[in-house]
Amino acid sequence: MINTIYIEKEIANHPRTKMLIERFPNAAKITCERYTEIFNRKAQNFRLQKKNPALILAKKYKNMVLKAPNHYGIGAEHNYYFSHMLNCIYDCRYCFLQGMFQSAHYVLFINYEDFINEIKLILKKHSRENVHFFSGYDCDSLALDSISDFTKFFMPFFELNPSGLIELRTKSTQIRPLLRISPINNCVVAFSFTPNKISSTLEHKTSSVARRLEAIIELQKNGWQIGLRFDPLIYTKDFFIEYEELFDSIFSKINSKLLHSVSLGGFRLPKNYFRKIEKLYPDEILLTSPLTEKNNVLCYPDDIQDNMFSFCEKTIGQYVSPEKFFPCYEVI
Amino acid sequence: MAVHIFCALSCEAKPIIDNFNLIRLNEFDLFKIYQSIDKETSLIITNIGKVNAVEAVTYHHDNIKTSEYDIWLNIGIAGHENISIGEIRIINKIVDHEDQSCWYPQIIFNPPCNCIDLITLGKPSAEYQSCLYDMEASGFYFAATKYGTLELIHSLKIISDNNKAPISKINKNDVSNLVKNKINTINKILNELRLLSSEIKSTNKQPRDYENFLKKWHFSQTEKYQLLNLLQKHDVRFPENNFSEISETLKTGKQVLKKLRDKLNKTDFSLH
Repeated sequence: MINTIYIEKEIANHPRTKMLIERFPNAAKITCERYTEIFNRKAQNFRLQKKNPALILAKKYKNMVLKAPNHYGIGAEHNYYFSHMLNCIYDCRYCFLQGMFQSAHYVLFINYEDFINEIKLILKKHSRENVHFFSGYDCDSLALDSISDFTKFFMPFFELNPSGLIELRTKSTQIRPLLRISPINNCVVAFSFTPNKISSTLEHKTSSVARRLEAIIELQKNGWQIGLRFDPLIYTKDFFIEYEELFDSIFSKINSKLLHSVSLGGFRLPKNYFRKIEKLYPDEILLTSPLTEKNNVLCYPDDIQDNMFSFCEKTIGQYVSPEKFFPCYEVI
Repeated sequence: MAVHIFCALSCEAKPIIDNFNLIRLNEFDLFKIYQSIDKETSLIITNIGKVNAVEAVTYHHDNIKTSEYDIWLNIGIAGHENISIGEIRIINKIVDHEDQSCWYPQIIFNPPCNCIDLITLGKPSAEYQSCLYDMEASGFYFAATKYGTLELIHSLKIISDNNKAPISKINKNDVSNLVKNKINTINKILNELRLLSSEIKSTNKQPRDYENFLKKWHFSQTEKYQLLNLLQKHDVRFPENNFSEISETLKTGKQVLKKLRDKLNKTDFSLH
């Protein structure tokens, strides 16, 4: 699975680095000064690297935890995100990471303790308020959890700090590390969905909608809070039929009363990312969708977007109370 | 896609020239350049040293048509403390001994040989270590990355000397034989790289009728880019449908672009 591991010299002797390296005895290990010597270099090809990404073990020095955009949130006034990892094992054709990075290698920042220290400072700053932390912005929160031990390290911290809520955004069914521990009230495991047919067309290497649903059922049984994320909504001729089937299959199987939150967002990509993705995948039909440009972001025209949103809001509203529903109309 | 091979010595190059039936291009005299009749494979003899390697890559690029889909391969001999003579390695890290600059060739296929790091020295050394030593790779890689795609630029080294068999004991014939014995491995690596190259080359295919449209209507530079983009999308959305028939009656390039936009935006869109 991983044939090459690059290791920053400074963290070469970190216990987490050693533990990770032991998990890939056959991988070539190459030391470097900084991960940027390998990651995002000019003339790299994301599409080619995606065929066989390397793992880069690095240390993050600054900007560990950042403010989330204003419209991004599931109910708290203060929203932050952090990325212990850059890039994802999945290959979703709508993903902005393909446009943001030149490189498809996985960068894992192993200095978790420094992330925690910065989260502590933020919690202290908002000591009497709820703060939400989103962990799956530049990666899938759970997909590599079995090797990164991300939840094993971060869950106990959040358990002791209930004013901070962590969202684990994922399409992964790798939930064993979570099932091994007691559920934490201030953690939301948020699963992203598109309908089956759209998923099999666009979400390469992901598990099926059915498998994700099984994971949700298992997590709910064990007391974990679940979020549903229909973001991005993807337009196709049979949008209403496909999304109705998706909502039916989800809400008929899971316990919607126990849901923490449901959010919606339309397909949107910054124009420069979109152009890069077009160059990488010119045969991709998604990129020929009817799109318009707003403030340098490509998104669906208002009529399509409004129809999609009103249909989804109406259907989801049958299952989920308004205070748990967070549609995001903004495109930037 | 074309393959560009760089060897420091004629004796390293000889078995490759023979294998690919390369012919000397006499019009180039600063460096010796050889090429196959179909122009798909070329080889340049860089002479010894990283400065020569840089100049040879630049000279090759200036004189032989290269593209971002091409494969750039440095093939040569190198020393190591204990790897057996005749073994081949693909390089995954190149360090320039002089200024400590580093490069990391991106090996994203399963190579038929082991990988190793390499130090490029300014002059020969017999103080063998656990990495390879050569005198050209850093110059080659530094220069080739200006013209090629990182994943398609590689350095292959065949072990010629080690602690038990120093460099002074080998002659030109020995070097040629070392390379000749690894032609199969070189070919396997080239085949892997050709697959990668053809994948990215396929992303640059011109849409049907693009050239005909340029002949038939006038488009400004910006409009040419728009036309290319819209025709590409048209071919993806309507693979069976020939737009040139629909556009037959249109009088200007602007009308063609509008018609294409309308067709793409106003037709029901289906992902499946």
